Amino acid sequence: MKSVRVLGALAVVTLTGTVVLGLGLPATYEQRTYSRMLALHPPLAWTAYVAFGVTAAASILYLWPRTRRARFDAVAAASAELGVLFTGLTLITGSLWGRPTWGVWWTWDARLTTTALMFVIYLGYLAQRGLADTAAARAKRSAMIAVMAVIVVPINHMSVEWWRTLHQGRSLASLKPGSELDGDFIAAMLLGFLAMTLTYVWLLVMRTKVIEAEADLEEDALADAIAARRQEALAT
Amino acid sequence: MSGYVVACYAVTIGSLSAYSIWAMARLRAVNKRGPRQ
Amino acid sequence: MFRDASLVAGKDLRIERRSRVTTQQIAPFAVLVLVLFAFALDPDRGVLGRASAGLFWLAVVFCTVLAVQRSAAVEVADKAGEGMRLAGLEPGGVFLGKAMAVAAQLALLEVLLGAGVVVLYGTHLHDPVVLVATAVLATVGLACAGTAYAAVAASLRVGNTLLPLLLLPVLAPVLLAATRAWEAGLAGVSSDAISWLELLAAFAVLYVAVGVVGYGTLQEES
Repeated sequence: MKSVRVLGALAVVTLTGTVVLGLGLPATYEQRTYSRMLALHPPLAWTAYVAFGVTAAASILYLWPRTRRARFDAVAAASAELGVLFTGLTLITGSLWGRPTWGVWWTWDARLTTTALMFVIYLGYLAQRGLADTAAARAKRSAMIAVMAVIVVPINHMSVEWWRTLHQGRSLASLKPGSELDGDFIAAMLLGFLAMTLTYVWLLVMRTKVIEAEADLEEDALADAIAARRQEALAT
Repeated sequence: MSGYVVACYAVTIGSLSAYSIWAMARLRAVNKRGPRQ
Repeated sequence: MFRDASLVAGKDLRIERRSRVTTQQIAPFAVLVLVLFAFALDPDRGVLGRASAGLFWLAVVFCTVLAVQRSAAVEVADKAGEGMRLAGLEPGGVFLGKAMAVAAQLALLEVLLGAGVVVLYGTHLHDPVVLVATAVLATVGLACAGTAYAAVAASLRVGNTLLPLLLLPVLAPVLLAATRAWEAGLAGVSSDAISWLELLAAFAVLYVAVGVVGYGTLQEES
């Protein structure tokens, strides 16, 4: 489909732009060369939030009888998978940033802990989707879990406010002109936000299609098998 | 350029690319078996 | 709805009295966990005393998993849950009733564990107000979240293995907040506990709402 291709192209372009801008950033005094990673890390985290939000929204639509469609279950599943991917990348990039900046690969401050929690919670969501079950039962159960699990997203976001913590405060809200982080840095990071969001949407569209197509194939295969058995029975 | 920065970009771009290639490949494979009726 | 809730709570507690699962299985398990912690952490080095709040709540969380598994299994056996639905009981009321019964069992276990922590770890229970307030709020949250998730997992064949994976991360905030509140109380710095109590209250309110609203949908499945 052409619009998907356009979307994909846009995603690739903005992502490339982010890389170029990000790697071309001047080293700031406070964070030296490592601020380059901040063109990627907050955008990845933000996109993970969006992904889990979409999972919850799609799940609610699925649970509401009037809007119950298999497509929403597919979107929920695909978005959760992407959310786990982006959360994993958030943790990894965060670790790579933390090691030179704070001296440790990991620390149990509020932000990191809640992010790790978010990761494990949705890993559990993906795990229970793998269980053998009818599609409808799995969809309903997954939807319930997704709606309950999304609570961790605002907890994560507010964790730097609620607990005194090593991690930076919510970056965009605390930007002031003339601080270490302005000008070129903001441009790179904002482009990063755009790039990650576009990438997420594009991957979501593709992944949802894969899920739906594979579900159709399964149905067709099942119908074929039943028809074949029937033929056998009639032939004998 | 710091190794950490390089690793950061490599892992991010690498995994996103890998995932998108995998998704496109699966789409292609599924479409090849063709929709029925 | 509240009448249905008390009916269901009464039923669950009566079942418990007759089968004695909590008293004969979960309570000994709770004490066992406390003892195992002592094996894992060298008692001579004072770690146990300092960590007693966290160990207490960790033990409570483990007991929650067992208790809600048991609570949900009661409905699956002989399709008793469907029977309740057919009898016209409101799902929200059923949820509240089951959660209340679980909360009652957890409360008893907490008293037992509290005694255990005093005896085995030598903890002095300062500021009972904070400790009890924490326990009340935390127990409500644990019971409600646990009952909701256990209903989801109970209908699965591998539900017993899956429930801890699904439930424990969700309960982690309660573990954190309750431990911090208890530490503040035990150290005599009760004012620190207030924000943690607020978090526990928010969690409890949230999962009461989620459970009451969502339990009906979960029941339709199993």
